Amino acid sequence: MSELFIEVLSEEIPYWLQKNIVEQFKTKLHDVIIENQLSGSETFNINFHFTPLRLIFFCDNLINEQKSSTEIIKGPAVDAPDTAIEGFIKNIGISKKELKKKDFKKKTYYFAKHEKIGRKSEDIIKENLEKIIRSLNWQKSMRWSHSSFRWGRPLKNIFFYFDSKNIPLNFLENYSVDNNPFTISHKKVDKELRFKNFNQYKKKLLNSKVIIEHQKREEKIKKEISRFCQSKKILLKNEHNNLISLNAGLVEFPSILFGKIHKDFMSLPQEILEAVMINDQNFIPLFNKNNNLSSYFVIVSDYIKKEFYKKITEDNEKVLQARFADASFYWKNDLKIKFEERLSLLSDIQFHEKLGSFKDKEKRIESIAQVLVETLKVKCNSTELLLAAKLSKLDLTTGLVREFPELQGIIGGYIAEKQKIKDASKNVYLALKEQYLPKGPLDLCPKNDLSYILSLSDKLDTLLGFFLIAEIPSASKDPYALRRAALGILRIIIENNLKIKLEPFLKEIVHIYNLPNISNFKVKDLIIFLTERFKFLLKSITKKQDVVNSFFTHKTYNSNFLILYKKFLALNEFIKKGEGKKIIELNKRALNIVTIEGKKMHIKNSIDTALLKEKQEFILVEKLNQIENIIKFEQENFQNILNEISSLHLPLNNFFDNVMVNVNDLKIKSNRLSILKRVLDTLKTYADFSKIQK
Amino acid sequence: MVSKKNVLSFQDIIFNLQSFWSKNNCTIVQPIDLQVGAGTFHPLTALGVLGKKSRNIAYVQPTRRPADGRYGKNPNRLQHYYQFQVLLKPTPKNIQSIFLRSLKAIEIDHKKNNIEFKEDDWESPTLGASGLGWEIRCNGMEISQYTYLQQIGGIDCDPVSVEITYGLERLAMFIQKVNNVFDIIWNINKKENKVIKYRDIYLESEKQFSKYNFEYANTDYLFKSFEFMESECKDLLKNNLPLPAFENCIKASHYFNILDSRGVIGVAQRQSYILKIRTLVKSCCESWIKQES
Repeated sequence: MSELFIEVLSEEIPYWLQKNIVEQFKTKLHDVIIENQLSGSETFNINFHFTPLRLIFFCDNLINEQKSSTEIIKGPAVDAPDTAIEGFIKNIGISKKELKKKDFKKKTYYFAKHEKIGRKSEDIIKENLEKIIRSLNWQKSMRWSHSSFRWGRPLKNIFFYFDSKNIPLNFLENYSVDNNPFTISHKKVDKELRFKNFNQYKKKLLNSKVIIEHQKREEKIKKEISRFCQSKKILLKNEHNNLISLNAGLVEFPSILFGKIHKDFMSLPQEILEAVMINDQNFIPLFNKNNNLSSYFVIVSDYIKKEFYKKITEDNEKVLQARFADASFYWKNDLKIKFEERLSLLSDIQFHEKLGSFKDKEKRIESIAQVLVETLKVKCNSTELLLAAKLSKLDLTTGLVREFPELQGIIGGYIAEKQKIKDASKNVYLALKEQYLPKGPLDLCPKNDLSYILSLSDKLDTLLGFFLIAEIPSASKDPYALRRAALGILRIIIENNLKIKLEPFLKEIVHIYNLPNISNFKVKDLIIFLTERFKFLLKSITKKQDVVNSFFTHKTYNSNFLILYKKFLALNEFIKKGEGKKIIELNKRALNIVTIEGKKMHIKNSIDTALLKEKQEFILVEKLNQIENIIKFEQENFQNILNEISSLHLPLNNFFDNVMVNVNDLKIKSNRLSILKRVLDTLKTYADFSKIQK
Repeated sequence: MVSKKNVLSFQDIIFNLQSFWSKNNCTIVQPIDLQVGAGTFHPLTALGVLGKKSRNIAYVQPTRRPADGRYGKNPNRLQHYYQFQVLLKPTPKNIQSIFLRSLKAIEIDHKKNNIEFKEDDWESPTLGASGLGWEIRCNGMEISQYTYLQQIGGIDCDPVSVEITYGLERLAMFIQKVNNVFDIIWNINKKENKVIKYRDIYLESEKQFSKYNFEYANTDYLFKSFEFMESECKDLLKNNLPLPAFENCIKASHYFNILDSRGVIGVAQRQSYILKIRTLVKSCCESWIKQES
């Protein structure tokens, strides 16, 4: 078996692009190998690794050469026009003499023997590599020396080894990319490395401070942090694992350093310290056993000799302190003004030209929140709710938020808490801090009534507002982050079990915007937009595109997303089980018959009971009636509906086994087809089972 | 602080960078004699990146950011500071390693420090320019910006240039290990054993210009001047004079920056001013590239 081994070397690729691109590359390479039958075993797999500078692909069970084969190809009929015959000969590359005549379905045709000579695997892969590197879909890419060729950052070198032999890639010259058969060590070691095979490559790189496996870099960081934490009796938070992955994606060999926050700054709100450390510097904060921030933090540096640790740690601490000093200055300054007094400043900050200032936004949030509470019938202290809404945007006028925009909300919560606002309880401060959650897929949803009402009101205002002024996201542009707002709304609804029909709700609140010319606005468009986000959410929860597709047939239109969600979950569970699989199978069988026969004759929607003959027909039709009733009756008890659907299995199976559809009496045949069509229609009220892959 | 005798002074840093880039194929040119918000505004860069002609230049550019002034009271903020700007077109193949060597020329050895290439895609809304690259950090501190320019004035750069901008004050603070920008040693007069600091040269200026930028600048005059520069720029373009036209964009942009620091421009208005400048810059670039080709 032969070994394939490729390294693609670039300048520093941002972490968020690395994994996606290495996977795309791998999939394409995999397809080339499968399509050309170059794999030597059934369990064929390409291993891949990545660092900020390298994409690495390796697999060791390829065949050296494709198998040769002979194929007999049917050509045109003997009496076909000459041009057709010539075209056929040309295509295959043989002479007319070599053609054979043979009868086929009462006609004589030309046949040609085509010998396919197996090609060398290395040649096939080599030819396809150019296609692969030109067809990768970068979320962000650039040009550097070629007028159209793009890559995440300048691409430096690619080599391709097959069977321990370097295979030259001449096309790279066109893109000013090198094709050196060697690689480079870590920049700080600064050596050229030569090797004979993948194992040697990996070893030599490790010796010159490159760990090619992302996961091993992560493990190294985690191990050293945990050792440090044990000695200091402090902790790493699970939620910071992403930060470790990020850091592991920024270096080829992590050197782990530990810094200390100067005690003068430890009195600042914890979130401010954390935000500065994480967002500005990618430092990893560590915590005391009581979950309070400890004064230690982690600096992940790219490989550095131990003798320089101290200086680098000190330098990093100094940078952090300068940022903390800024934050501390603003914090003290911001506290000087009474929080409520900032209300007058809010009208100076514009939210959007057509949607007014943040003062206007805040007013709308108040109104939306009140309608929401009534609609949802939540028990919520209305004084507190109005207060939270009123205070919600005030921190936009603070120096801290101007300097650290990602801390909006949190800052407001802290200032209000510190200044003890009249009538405000802990719930109000918490709602202020949580009003922007969830911002991303990793954020938790607010659970507290006041918090999620505020967050939901704010997001609904943003979403509806921009739809009203026709600022709707396009495929590539979403400047107001409306997709994120929509996802936030859906998650809050689902995770807090909120029964709300968004369509009538949105209609009810349109008037508060007081906008002229909104005649082009249709609530339906907004619900469709939300539905698209909802599909995305379901896909990211279940990872199953086919189930999502089966669930959303073109008829689906429902703005009660909680109900939709429950219905979807029930389906997702159902199809994992045996009964579900049987229904998929039977649905497929029925669909095949109806599709084929439907082309030949019209199938009526109604069943004529007078034409029922066999016992199994009667049973099936009766079962169908029963199921339809239950679907109507049960409405939201999806478990019961699916149980009922699965009870269709036996009568349907008996029908298939005992009732002949393709009978000579066309009336009876048509009626039996109508029964099957009715089966399909009934199943479709839940999902299009034909779209689910097994 | 490092011992004064051996420390690399602010002017040494400039000398070393100039001499390094001179040895690496660059023509050392002089700054544009106008108030600009970034070294990229220098016409040799802003217009020079367009067209096919190769171009390797380096220069120091005094830079103004009126709103960043702090009356000389903040140890890290200035309304007037210096950038060292390098522009290379087309992009040399081994530019990253040349860049690392340039740091060594000012005593920053990448083997002894953590030099980080942190993703930072650059965009200038007023220039209609964008590029991909990194912010270069040394032990956590941003010291330089490294960009592959993709577009300027809305026109694709072909070939692509690489632009490297060193923040000279940041570098000096790092190299000299000082925590306050005014403590930077500008020059050591060895004969007289006298140390000239950044404070001696610029503190007073920071105080006065902060007052001007935040309190005294005549906004009526600036609004009118902006309009005048705008129409002048358009007239010059009609007469195919993109270079003087572009200087009027630079002036308009500076007036806009002062108006902004005076706090008289609202959020929505801000966008429309940026758009006005961008439109002018775009026309200048189009006129320039027509002449070039």
